[in-house]
Amino acid sequence: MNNRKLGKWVGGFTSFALLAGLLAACGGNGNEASPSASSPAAGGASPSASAPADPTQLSGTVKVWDWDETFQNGMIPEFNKKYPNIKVEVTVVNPNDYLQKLQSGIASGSDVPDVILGEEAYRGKLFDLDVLDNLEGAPYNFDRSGVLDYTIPFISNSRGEVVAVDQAITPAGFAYRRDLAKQYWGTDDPAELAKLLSNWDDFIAKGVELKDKSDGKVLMFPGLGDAFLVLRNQNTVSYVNGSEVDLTAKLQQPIETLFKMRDAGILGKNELWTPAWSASMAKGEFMFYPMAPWGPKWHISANDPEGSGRWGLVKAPEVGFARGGTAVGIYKDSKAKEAAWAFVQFAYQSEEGSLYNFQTFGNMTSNKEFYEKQKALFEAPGAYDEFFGGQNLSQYFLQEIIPDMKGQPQSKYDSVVDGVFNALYPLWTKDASTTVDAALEKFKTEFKNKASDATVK
Amino acid sequence: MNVNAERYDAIPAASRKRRWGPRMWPYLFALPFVLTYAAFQLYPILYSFVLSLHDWNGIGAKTYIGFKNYVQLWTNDPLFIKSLWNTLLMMLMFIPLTLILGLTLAYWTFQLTRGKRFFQTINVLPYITTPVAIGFIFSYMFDWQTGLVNLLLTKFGILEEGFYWLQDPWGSRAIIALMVIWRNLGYFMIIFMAGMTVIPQDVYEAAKVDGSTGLHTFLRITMPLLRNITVFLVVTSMIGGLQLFDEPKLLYGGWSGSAQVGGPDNTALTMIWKFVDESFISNTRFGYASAIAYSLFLLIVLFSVISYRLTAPKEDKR
Amino acid sequence: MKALMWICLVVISLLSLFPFYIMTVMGTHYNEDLFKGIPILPGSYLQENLKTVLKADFLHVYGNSLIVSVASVVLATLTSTLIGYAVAKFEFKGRKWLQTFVILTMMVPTQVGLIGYIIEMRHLGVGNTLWPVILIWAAFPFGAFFMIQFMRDSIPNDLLECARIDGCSEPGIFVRIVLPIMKPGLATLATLVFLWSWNNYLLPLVTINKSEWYTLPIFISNLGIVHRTDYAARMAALTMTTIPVLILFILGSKTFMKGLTAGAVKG
Repeated sequence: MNNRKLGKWVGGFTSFALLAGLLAACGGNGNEASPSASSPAAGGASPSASAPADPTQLSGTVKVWDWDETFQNGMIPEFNKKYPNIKVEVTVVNPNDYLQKLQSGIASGSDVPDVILGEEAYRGKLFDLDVLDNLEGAPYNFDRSGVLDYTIPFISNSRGEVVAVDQAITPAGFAYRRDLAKQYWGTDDPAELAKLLSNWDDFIAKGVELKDKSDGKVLMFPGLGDAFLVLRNQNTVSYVNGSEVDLTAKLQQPIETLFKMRDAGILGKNELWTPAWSASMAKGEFMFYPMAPWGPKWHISANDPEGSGRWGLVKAPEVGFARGGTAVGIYKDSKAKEAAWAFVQFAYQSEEGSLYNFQTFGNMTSNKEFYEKQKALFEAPGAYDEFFGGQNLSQYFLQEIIPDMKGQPQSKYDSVVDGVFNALYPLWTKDASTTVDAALEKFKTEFKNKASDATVK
Repeated sequence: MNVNAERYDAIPAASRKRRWGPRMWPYLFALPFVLTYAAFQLYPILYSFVLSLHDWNGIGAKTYIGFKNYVQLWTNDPLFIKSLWNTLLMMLMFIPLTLILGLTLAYWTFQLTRGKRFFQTINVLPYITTPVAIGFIFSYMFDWQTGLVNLLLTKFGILEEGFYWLQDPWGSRAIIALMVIWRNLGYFMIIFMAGMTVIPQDVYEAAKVDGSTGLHTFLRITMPLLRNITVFLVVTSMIGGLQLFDEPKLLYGGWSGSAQVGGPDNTALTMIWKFVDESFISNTRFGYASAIAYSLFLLIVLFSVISYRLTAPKEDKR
Repeated sequence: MKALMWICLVVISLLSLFPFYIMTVMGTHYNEDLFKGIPILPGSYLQENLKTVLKADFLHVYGNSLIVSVASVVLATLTSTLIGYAVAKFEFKGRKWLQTFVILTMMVPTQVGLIGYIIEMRHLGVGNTLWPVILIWAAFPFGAFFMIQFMRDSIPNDLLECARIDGCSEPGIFVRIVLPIMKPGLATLATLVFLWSWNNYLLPLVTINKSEWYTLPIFISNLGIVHRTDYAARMAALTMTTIPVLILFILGSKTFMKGLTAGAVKG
């Protein structure tokens, strides 16, 4: 009798606990539903001009998720000099985990940052998730003509709305070994090299020449990955229309050129970012490494610390391409939109912020006016110019590479393309007999496996 | 049991009401676990099931689609079936080996008169070394061009040219199995040794008197007494094995984010990796991913029951 | 035979030691030097790497991880031992069901309830603290199952009967007889829970949004990730992260061995 009663008691209590757990969780059921789709233009915030009238009036707390703690630690005090009443809180998040953390946060209704970063690898997905506010409406009133024209597709979503600001521009060219170029091609001058490599066929021919003269010891690119990232990013055609994905338009040409290079034997066998790939820079096994303005510090000089003076920068054949890049947007349901915009604007677009940014971190802003106002800044030698044989890198980027740049419309399928390529190119390296058609077909099949809702052409 | 019942009846009825007999205690003892589980873990599980009946990307609205996710998963998703196959294959590659090696090592270490703790501690190092470091080291060692393994193999003339381990369908699985075995040996050793510790010495003494030695002692005395611990390890290995994710992900996680999800031609894709891929990497289909998680749950139940039935002692578990 | 045994043990031990050693050595090099080949000898960059690590508030994060792991160990061992004792050593209605329940809970993949768990934690108001990462261990199915199996093997029923006949109260039996015998099992479980909660990555990643509450694994993955990954600094941090667990294992193994004499369970 005793234990039957107890049994009932236990049973009852357990059910109660269960119920309590359920209720606690279901309590805010309404809250955890999808965030209300508030149209930014009709938002509650009073519309204001793009730069607030009195900086000290703005107050609030802005939450930022970024991986570059050093940048934030430097920029925030600068920002606070102008906006003393806005508090900026930074949470450090690894870009590889960023989207996962963000989605979990939004899905569970917990802390979501006001300022959201979108790195190239997941930028398209971020835009298509539709969590960023349209910056051309109030209270931001961003003027798209204020940024370099080619960057606009990189910061717009599929509806053509500008939803982000570039953290820094990343036009890219090739870092090349001057000593090797001089040795095998007789010149290490960027202008002459650019002429020699004005299109891909010339590039391949020169590559064969390099291979022959060096007995196969020096090749053009470390691997298929490098070559393809250039080719793919040069092809800025819009290939996504809703859920129709035209892979042929996007990839046929790059894969053809890639395989031509592979068949000519001018590509190495390294995979991107592996230790062997990194070590090859100092070893002088390859001539070219795709490089954007962040490259000299973090990439070339980090891997070849003693290589000062033996590197140069030349533009890519035919057309420019972007490498990397991060977009900075504002959360649609942020409670501190104006304060957040003040920060974003200051850090990445304003003259003071961009000046500090460039001088301290070497980041180049996308703001057009800045380049006109600060001409002298770029004519002066940069921190890594000496490393690159005295070449003025910033000027080269500005004058030779940027004019050739075109923007790529962003889509969530970009990262799928990326992923499928990363899965396939080692196989293409291993088995050099794959044909272009076979590769493209395989690409389409794999793509369909990952993006089952898309129709693939 | 009889003793208790008799004792119980012998107590006058009046005081029975006031006395808390042994009958109640098991319930009380079990209560903390059950309560905390119900409070913290039950809701998420139920929520996840409900979620698997919807289509949701985490941000927008949830659309109810019934069991469509499951149907698509099992009939129309070749990658899922492949991941299932991969997971099972790799489990077959590492579970038996780890059990046998772990038991052997534990037994040998246990027999040592000195250095027991030393060996035990050293062998547990792989288990406590963070997976990140391990993935790094393994992908380094097996690198095609510069890896230690290929260098050794070519130097000793076993191979002409380096084998592209990481991009070979079976090579990839073998390396992952190797990582898992290497990682878990120490853990298995510890568990087995803890079990061996409580075998009373007089059992061994009696066996020695009866003339049992070495292998015979091991097979006839030690192993049966380790039955329950072994069952624990087998069942937990099945459960853990089906959820294999860390090792493949770290091996192919890529340096600086250029990850090759699924390894070469998806031969290293495991079910949990597919789950993570669906939710966060290639897609953002939380509903679909929940369906994967639930299907995995059912598979785990199936395999665990089978493995438990096969290994648990015949007499009713006391 | 004995020689063979020794050789095998030594070889396997070396293989086990190797990666740990490499990890330590990697922490002493300049990151990009690591790409030139696996380092066998220590480098000279340790101070720089340590600076990178400590500058980023390492000690505070260390403290967070300690809090999480200690609390998790306490909660997990408590609930697991109690239920293990109940299921393994008592006959009662629903025992079979309870055991099945424990086993079933063990089979639920950890990722299954992630989003739901975060939602629940948020509603309980502990969203941005360390509690979600701790409470996930409060009902630890593996622990319960381990205790059930371990108790079955190691506690003789007659001992319990004797104690009951002697008039010992149930809690008394548990504390004075069962727990001492279970020392190896307790030590093992405690160490494992410590290890698993210490290295847990996924849950802290998605539940903790304030840098000051980060635990070590998250902290390490954020070290030096601007434009390239500073593996060397990470390895230095990882080595320091592994130390407490290593110490715990060394201490714990003492108990595993001592428990040998506690095999004096011959009534």
